[in-house]
Amino acid sequence: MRTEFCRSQSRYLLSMVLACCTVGVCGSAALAQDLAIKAGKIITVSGPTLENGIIIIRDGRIAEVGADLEIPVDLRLLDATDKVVMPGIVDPHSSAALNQANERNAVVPFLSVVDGIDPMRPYFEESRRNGVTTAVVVPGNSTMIGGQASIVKTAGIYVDDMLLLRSAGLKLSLQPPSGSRMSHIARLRRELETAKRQLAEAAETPPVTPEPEKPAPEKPAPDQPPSSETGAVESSDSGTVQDPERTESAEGATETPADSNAAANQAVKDLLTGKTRAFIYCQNAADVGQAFRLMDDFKFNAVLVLGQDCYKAAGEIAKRNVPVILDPTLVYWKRDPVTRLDEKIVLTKLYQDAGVKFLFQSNDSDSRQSLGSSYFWFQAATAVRYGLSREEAIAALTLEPAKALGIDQYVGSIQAGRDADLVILTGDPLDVSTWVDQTLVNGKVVYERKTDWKLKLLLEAQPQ
Amino acid sequence: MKDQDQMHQFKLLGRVCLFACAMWAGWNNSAQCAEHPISGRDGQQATLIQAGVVHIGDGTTLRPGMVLVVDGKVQAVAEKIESTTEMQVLTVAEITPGFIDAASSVGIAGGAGEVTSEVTPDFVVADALDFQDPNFARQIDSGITSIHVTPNTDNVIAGFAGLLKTGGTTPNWLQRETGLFLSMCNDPTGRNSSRSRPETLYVRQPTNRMGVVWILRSRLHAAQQTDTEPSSVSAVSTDQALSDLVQGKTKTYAVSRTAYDIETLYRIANEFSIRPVLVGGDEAYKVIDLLKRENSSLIFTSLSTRSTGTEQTELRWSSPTMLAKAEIPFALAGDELLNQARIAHRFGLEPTAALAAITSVPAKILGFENQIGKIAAGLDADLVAFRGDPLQVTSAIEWVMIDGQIYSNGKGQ
Repeated sequence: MRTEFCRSQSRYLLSMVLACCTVGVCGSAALAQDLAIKAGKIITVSGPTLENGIIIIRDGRIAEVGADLEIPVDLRLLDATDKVVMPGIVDPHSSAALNQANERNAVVPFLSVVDGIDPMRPYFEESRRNGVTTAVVVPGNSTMIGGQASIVKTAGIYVDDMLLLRSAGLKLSLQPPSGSRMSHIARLRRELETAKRQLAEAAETPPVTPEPEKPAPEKPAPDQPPSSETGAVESSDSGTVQDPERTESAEGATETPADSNAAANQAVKDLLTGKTRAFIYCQNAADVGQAFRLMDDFKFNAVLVLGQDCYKAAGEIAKRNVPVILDPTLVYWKRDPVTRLDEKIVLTKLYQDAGVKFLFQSNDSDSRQSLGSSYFWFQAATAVRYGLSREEAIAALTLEPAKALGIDQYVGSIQAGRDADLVILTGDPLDVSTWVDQTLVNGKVVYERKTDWKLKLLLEAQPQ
Repeated sequence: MKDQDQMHQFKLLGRVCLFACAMWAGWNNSAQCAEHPISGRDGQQATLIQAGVVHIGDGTTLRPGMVLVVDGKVQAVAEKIESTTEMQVLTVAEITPGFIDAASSVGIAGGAGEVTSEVTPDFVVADALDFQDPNFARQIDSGITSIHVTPNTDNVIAGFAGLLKTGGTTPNWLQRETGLFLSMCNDPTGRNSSRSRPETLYVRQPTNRMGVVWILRSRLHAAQQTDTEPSSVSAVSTDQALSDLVQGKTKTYAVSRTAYDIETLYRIANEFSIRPVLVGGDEAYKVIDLLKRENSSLIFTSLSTRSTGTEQTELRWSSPTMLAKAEIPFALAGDELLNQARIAHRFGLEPTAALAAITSVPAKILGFENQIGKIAAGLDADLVAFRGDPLQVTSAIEWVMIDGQIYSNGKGQ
């Protein structure tokens, strides 16, 4: 180990000379956030786990990952040789970033969480503290058509700086806030029918054929050329944060009521034309069937947000390749109303046995309790206790949600080209005594345990 | 001294009862095991458990170790015990003593507070216990083998708690009346839900925290003045129970969470020479010196239930660590004991101290260290078998044993 280190150091001397030349030629010194992380262990998720690996970060992205990389001299070195590095956690469904998750009006597809996200909410601070680097902010579970979800990074002051994907999907809820389920579903169908009919009418006049949607990154990926002009125009639908679209949404604010109707329908139309997906909240197993019927009848994709009782539809869910997000309370007891007998429900095990891949979500609560389901590591560890493999559990926190939301080319794994969203842990991610030591978003350290006064105070072992 | 005598009597009584129980159980096994799947051990009187790690419960471990269980009791614990053909042999990764919840509300039927009076020292939780409550199965499933069922905190002098096993077909009481619960906190002020309608019969005192202190002090003072004959702890009259309390015959527990409540509690306790076990203790970390001076024991409930509202206690995740450092005996209690121990460990408590806080320490605080809380010869065979390190969230409980009977998923086998 040590001799190897010395050898590599002598190599650095050589490379230093080279590096000086390179810098001279390019005329661009390394950016402040460029750095190299020397890690005791790297859980890449997409590839094999590396012991004693190196991650090189340039311009906010992972440039290289490997066991035997040379560290360029121009890079700041972050020593994590006694630590474990994993990709930042992706929270696939949270309303805790919003001051108010639900609307009184039942049909509000024209709303976007972008206008409601408050980066100062405790949710974001807690997220960084707990290694969550990407959050899918979704309207609440009790509005029929609740508005549009967005995907943000968890660090920033202005929501526009945090956006990864502006239009990440439309929230639908199958839980009637009050009254009859029949009328709730009927009204939802009517809204979708209207949009479908308008689309068909518009199709009679030759439309501008929309490209199949690919979420565009906030910044172009290093291996891709910057977005072409057409790309930027298209992105107004797909929801990037590039300037043309920002201007457009600013105009949207001064719409007349008629325009606002059009905007209302536009979000639903985007769903029906496959530009976005739906997040469908299913309160119970019957709602899962309703969700599948809607998806089939109106031909759209969806992520299902499952209430506790939905496990009864696990077999049906397994037949379809649809991502599902579990209720944060993974283990609970249920009393049979007739026999009064208690049954222990372990959601992860029931879904796993049925062959369903699942995602976790954080508990939507500002005042996080000391115990339990508020924490992703705790949820993943609980799933492992009931039979999920550790690898699957870690993937369910990182790469799987990224894939489910179509952002896996940006986040969810440690490999070249991905955003440098990393969590540096004091030990194994599922170990009870492991803490997040540092969290990086886009290559910047956005959380450091040693300067976290709040955590220090909570854990201070000296009475004041 | 007097209360110790009393306790001794109870322990003796308890032991006699247990002996009788054991005799009965033994006869029961041989005679009708087929009809009683819960208590039946199919004639296997002896079970040898081979474990990768035996957590004794007092901070020591055997790696590896063996535990011999005969007739519901641990007969031997050693690194190596020879097995015989009559023994049922079980192999597990790690084993701990059964967990003891020193402050539980499981199984109390029909409400635990009394609206018509704020002083109910002759109330006995054991009389309202519904052992058929399915929550007992949940307790077993999470490794809890003994629970201290306590009255709630709506009344200033609330009543007697009871200690029983979570397993068995009928309640197996270790002690029906463990001690009298006092509420030196804000809770009794909130009991008066009819304050907005002053004409109602149910306007009760206290309505503020000073009133809590006043009721407690005045009733204890009145009891000191009256001259009554000594009697048993299960006195039926309020006066008798209060008299026993001020004469030091009754073990007392007092619920206080904030620092000022804890300070007030000890002030009153010293006025009347009572030695309460502190229950709650959210802000105990602020009064560690006081707790040391008073030689306190603490049933700490704040990891599972965080008090809010008027008390607004300030949370410190490190409270268990600070208590351990100060060598103040404390039990983790309330709910989710195992997760509490795990999280307390996460927050800095040593693994052995974390396990002790849900096993041997509550046993000692409740006065039953010679029967439960440790894996030791002569103690009840209350055990929890784990598939890995008990303090890891990833480790599953394989089975739970109560008085030699194995349960899995909360059910007897």
